[in-house]
Amino acid sequence: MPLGGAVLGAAREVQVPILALLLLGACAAKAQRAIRTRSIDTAISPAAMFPLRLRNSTAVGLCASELGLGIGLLVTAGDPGTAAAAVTVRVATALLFAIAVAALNEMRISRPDAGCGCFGDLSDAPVTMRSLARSAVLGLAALGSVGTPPLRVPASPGQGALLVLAAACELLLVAAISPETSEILVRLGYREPCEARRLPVARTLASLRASRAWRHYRPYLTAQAPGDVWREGCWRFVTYPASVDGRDADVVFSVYLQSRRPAVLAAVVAAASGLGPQSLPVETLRVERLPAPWPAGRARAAATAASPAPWPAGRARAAATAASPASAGVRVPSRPAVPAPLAAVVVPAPRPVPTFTPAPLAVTAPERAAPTVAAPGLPSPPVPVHPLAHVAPRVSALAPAGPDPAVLRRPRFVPSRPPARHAPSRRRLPNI
Amino acid sequence: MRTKPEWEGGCDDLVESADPAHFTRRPLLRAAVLSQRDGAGQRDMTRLHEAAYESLLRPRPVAQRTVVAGTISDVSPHVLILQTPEGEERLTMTPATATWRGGPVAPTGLRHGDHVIARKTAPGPPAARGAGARRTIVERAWAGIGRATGTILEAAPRAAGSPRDLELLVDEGPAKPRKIVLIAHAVYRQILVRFPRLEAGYLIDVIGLRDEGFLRAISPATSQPAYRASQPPAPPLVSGRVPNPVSGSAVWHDPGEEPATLLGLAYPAIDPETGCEHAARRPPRGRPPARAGQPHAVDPHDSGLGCVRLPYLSVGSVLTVRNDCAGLSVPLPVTSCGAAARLFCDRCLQCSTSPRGRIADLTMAAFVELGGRLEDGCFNASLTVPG
Repeated sequence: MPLGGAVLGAAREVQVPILALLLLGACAAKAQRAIRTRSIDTAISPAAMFPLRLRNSTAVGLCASELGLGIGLLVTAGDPGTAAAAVTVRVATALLFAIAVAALNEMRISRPDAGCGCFGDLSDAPVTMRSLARSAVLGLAALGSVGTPPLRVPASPGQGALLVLAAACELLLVAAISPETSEILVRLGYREPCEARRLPVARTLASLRASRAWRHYRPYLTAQAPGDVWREGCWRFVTYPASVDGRDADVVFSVYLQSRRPAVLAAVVAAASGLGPQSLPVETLRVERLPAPWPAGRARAAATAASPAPWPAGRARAAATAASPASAGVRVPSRPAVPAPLAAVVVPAPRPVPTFTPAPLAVTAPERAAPTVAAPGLPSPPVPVHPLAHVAPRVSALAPAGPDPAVLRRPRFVPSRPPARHAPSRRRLPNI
Repeated sequence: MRTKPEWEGGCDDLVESADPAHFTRRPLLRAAVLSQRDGAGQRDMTRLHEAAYESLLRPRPVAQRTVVAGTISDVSPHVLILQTPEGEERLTMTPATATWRGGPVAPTGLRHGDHVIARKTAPGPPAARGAGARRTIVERAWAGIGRATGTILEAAPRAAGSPRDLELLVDEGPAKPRKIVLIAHAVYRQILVRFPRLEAGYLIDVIGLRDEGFLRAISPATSQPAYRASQPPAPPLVSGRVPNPVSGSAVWHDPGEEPATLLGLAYPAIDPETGCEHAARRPPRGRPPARAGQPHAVDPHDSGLGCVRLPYLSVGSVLTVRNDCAGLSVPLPVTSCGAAARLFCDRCLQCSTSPRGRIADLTMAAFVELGGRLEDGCFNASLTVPG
């Protein structure tokens, strides 16, 4: 047999199982949708074009005919004794697809917003020429299968490979012209985007209270419960009433919507109440950058092992970091020191980087006004901020700048450059 | 010691809230925090915020607004005098002015005492238009227009009058009072074409004339979904990021308790953890639980995410709504929860076929401001959430 004839024969042979598979799949998808919605005619299908009293029976009839033809194609495929029945079933299948082409064309004109419902939930997109083309191709395939010999086990491996190749080609063609393919691919690789992800407030608050920003601003807060909680896209915002040098303020935290180690940002703004222009705009009292994170993990362990005195931790570290009288009474949660076994297994290394260098004691830097939101008609007085506020965060933003006697009594450090591996906290922020 | 955090939110509504300031400040607080991350955007947000909240915080004089609402105190073929909360407003009608009262009518078809919402034309050539310019010419005016969107709770022939008159009791969600819709014999067939199931448990969306205590249906606003209100289809899956801007259908709702000129929108995807759904589990005060006496009442908060995936926002958030048909774009604040819009999976066909699902339930004034025609019920819209 010439190659062309063999390919054509293989292509005609594989039509029956493919058609049966598609018909049974379509019926199952429709039934699944009907079961889920507990209503027969909820499927957006050509049944919508029928009068109301006929819709249920139309939907049931369509599904039943698909099921019957699918089973009929399989039953009559391999038995030589049912040749007449096989022809009948295959012609009926071609007729069904021809009717489908006409119905879909009618739907495309009269109900341009409705999906064909061919494969239940997957077929919500409006009917296009692709849906029509698929039905037409399948109808032709059904016609082409009329008169083919009964299915049998392939005589040779080459013939089997030809059949598989023909089936794969046809399935690829059907997938290419099916509008449902993109929907299936989306469902396979689905991951809920953060804007649409649900996360309980309690989870957000727990993440917030475990964050550095929370420890940083906690001494200013005047209430345990948040004043307001809201969400915009991937961020949830929490405000707490606070007091900064006797002035009412709000600390605004924003927590990224992810369940583990979310990014947390914070700002302090002047409190306001009442509806009207007087309560706006927001006056930012202090928008600080958090101090650069302390070396952790191996670097920190190495530093611990190399230096005779342990790295300042807990209260001592807090005192070294926040060198200010305001911090004297602040309770800072202490971080446990590096356990000795961990320090022991680390290869001793020279003390890493001169991470910190002594800062000049005299405060001579010019005052830096806090960034404020432009206030048309309501000029806000410039708020002096301590020039080294980022290392002494508990210095009040409203306190006059100037040399602080307490500062001179204490060793004072300022990071010379951020550690390479633990650079700014924003590194963990997702790219949004 | 760490205490268990507790947050009890309420059903947010900017207008009905006792302290609306904390809603209006939210976008600015957000900008103050997030500007640390990118260093920019705070000024843009301030400008966006000012534009969005203008109708609420710094309303312009009536003469300078595009949309005016009030009660007719006098009308002639060329002059329309409206009584607004700010005073009397004289408007000019030209032959090009379109007026609606249950259908297109001549200006003389408007009646004394009708509640009217009108859109004015911009004065002069487009280049000379300014925000402070006085506007007096009416482009379109709608008298007594109303809308009922929700679930049918009861359907019964009207006791008095023609036996073919049908009365429906419609539930528009837990935050709104129920409405009575009268479908008169004359429009019964027209509405039946688009809403074949006028029976309890199915959805309805009709536009009509407001009357004493009920709405007289005039035309269908969409096609009836084939499903019951309690069984909407599953939400589509979105992989990667929620698209921004997101496209769909924008509809409008009756003002109810809101000021008639409020520019805002009821957003269908308010954060369920802090917004409406949080409160929906408790029956509102003075109102029995939804399912106690009404088996067909559906709480839209409990019935899924709807047909379009939107980013979760909160009351007070600012977003930009664009009318894709008219090309107009306006920043608007979220003023209330629009979960009822999630029940509908329709498309808007005003200028093209929009994607499925309602993305915004605008106030009547915002819909008119954006160039929409109220009697159409929807326009193709894009929603942009500031990043």
